Amino acid sequence: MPLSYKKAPQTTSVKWSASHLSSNLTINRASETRRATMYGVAHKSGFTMVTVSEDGTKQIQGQVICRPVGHNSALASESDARFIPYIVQAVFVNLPIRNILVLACTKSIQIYELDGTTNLHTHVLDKNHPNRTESSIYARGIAGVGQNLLCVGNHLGEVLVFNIPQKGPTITLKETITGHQFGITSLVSNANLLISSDTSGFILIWNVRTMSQINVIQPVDESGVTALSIWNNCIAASYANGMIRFFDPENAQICGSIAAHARCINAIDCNERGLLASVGDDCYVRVWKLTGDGENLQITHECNQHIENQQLVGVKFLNLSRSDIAISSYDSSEVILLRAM
Amino acid sequence: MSLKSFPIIFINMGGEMVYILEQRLSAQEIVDQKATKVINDIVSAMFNGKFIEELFRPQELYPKKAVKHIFEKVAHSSIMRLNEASMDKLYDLMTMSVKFQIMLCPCASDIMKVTYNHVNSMRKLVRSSAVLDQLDKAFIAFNKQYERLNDVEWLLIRDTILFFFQDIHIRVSIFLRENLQTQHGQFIMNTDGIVPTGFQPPGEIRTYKRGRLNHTQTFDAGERHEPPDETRTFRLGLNIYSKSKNADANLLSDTVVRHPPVQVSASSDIEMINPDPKMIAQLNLLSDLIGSSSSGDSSRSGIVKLSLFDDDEDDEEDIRRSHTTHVQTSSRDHRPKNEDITIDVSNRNRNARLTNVLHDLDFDNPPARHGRKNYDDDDDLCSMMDRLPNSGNKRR
Repeated sequence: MPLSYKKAPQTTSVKWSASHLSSNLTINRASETRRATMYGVAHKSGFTMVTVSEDGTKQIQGQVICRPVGHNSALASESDARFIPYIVQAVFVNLPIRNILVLACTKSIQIYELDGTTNLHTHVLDKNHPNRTESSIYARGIAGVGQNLLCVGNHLGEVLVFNIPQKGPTITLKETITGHQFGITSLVSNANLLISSDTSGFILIWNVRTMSQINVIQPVDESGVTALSIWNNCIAASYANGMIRFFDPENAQICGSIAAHARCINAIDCNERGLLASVGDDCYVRVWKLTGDGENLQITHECNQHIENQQLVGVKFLNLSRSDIAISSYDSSEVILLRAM
Repeated sequence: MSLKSFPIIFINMGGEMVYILEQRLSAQEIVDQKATKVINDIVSAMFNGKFIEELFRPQELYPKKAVKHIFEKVAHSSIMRLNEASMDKLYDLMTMSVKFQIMLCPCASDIMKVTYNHVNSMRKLVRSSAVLDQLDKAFIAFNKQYERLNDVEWLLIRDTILFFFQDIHIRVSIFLRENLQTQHGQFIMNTDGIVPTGFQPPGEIRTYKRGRLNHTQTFDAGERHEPPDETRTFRLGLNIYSKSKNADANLLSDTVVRHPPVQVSASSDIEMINPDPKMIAQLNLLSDLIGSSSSGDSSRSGIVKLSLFDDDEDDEEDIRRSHTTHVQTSSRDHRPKNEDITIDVSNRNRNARLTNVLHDLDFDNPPARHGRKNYDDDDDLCSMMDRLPNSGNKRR
């Protein structure tokens, strides 16, 4: 039986509307210890989130305003707008030792406690570096790796690796890994691999233990990668031209492709059961089922859900073993919850 | 984000401004010669060499208020004067039109085509070879900056432009009438039919074994799609006011503009934070550059007063307003008297009290004063604004 979805009766809203950015929805899934789900989206220079109790009856709002960053790596005073950062991507990162909120911004990377209350660390991006393609300085692509590492990409194509302590604000830059020629667009990881993509369509595969590059996936066409996801040792990549492609990290070969959307795909997400959800500017959420593995992949289409007049910018599975999904859209402060029927 | 978004915002909003003004000038039967001068002067102010040079410098997004200020200057660079309400309405229309065009661009790089459409349509309205020359030079500068950008840079530009238009949900009657906008101010998005350049029509799944195609299947994408078609005319950014110029001269006069009941004012919005001194300096420079082009002539020729509003009568207010503005005009700079009256946006502060009074008067009892048109929009904020004193009264 193919999947079908119904919109949850209760509306879940954050305080501000979501900006038009790729992967502009992050969730902190409910767990044994924390029986509430947190949803967050980026709004210009702010991050807006809501914590929703399991039964959906209780909602607590929270907001984080990015800190302006001045010259000489010093924090600028709050009132000096010369260095107003915009958030390019915001992610709740769950590391075995700690949960944090990471804001990849223009000019800086800002790391907070999960609830956004305390700024733990602000890393100022190097502005003197020559820039090949884009004229702006920004961070994009956020992934937790291993026990205690945080990886964040930047406009130069570098991936910065930070050490996250179990407690306290002593966050240090461990190393900077290079390999991309263009700005990073997305990062994902599993137990063994870190995958990074850039604006030209290159995808690099790294060993998380040595942080060395083990494979390169060449661009298939001129379109850049907008988002990445990983399932069962199979890399899923969405493109600005509506394609989703799958690659085998072992040999960097393509193992599947879908002409999926009629407009730019803004976000994709996989759960543990092999479901893949994709959203784009065409107002469609599409869900796919993956079986097999990188060597022998099968793809079936599960369902389409049309969200009228909404350019969809974020999608996340609510639970890694279930099919329910959350969606965000540009200019809207509602987080749309779709429950599988 | 991208540092190349402001020129796109400026040229496209400027294009919309020229379309709207041209339509209003001809609808209000402003003498041809004057109307031509207004359009020539405004396009010339927008595209003068020094200004364009500054415009194309990589720069951060300006706050909305600052952008509006630039357009106020542009609008008043000629012999035309707009009152505050007209300027607001003009700006709202420009904003929503460009937001619509950017959001509905099939792919981000199509923003280039929207801009081409604006530049080409403006060309058709300009009647001065010197101004056309300026426009062409600006167009070359634009091409130089933008033609080599790749897909993803365009995505970044679009995302940045969409920051600028985020949370603005003004309803526009033309859009509502043409079924392009919902009652809530959302744009209606149809994404079926032809897919953008570089896309495949959704509906095909392929799997590969050892890098070689193994299996192809189809799926139902939920709507019908066709392959890209480069020969199709790209319509976003064309002059939508020109086609109905003769048929419906008052196309704009009943334009509905409404603000949502709850205005989002997030403190994460750039406007909420104090403006950057450097940005201000740059803005002042831009502003000055606009002012420089044609300030000299305005005292010599008759001032054209233009209203975007419906020609509703309200004599009492009108007299009061004319009186005030007369006094202002004469005491200010001894301009030669002419049959028209100046209502100058730049005098906002001096007019503030009066404007408030008028607002109070008008907003409190809308339906009684309503003119012949637009009965279904009685409760609408801007159709009420339509009844602020305006120029049409005199001529009828």
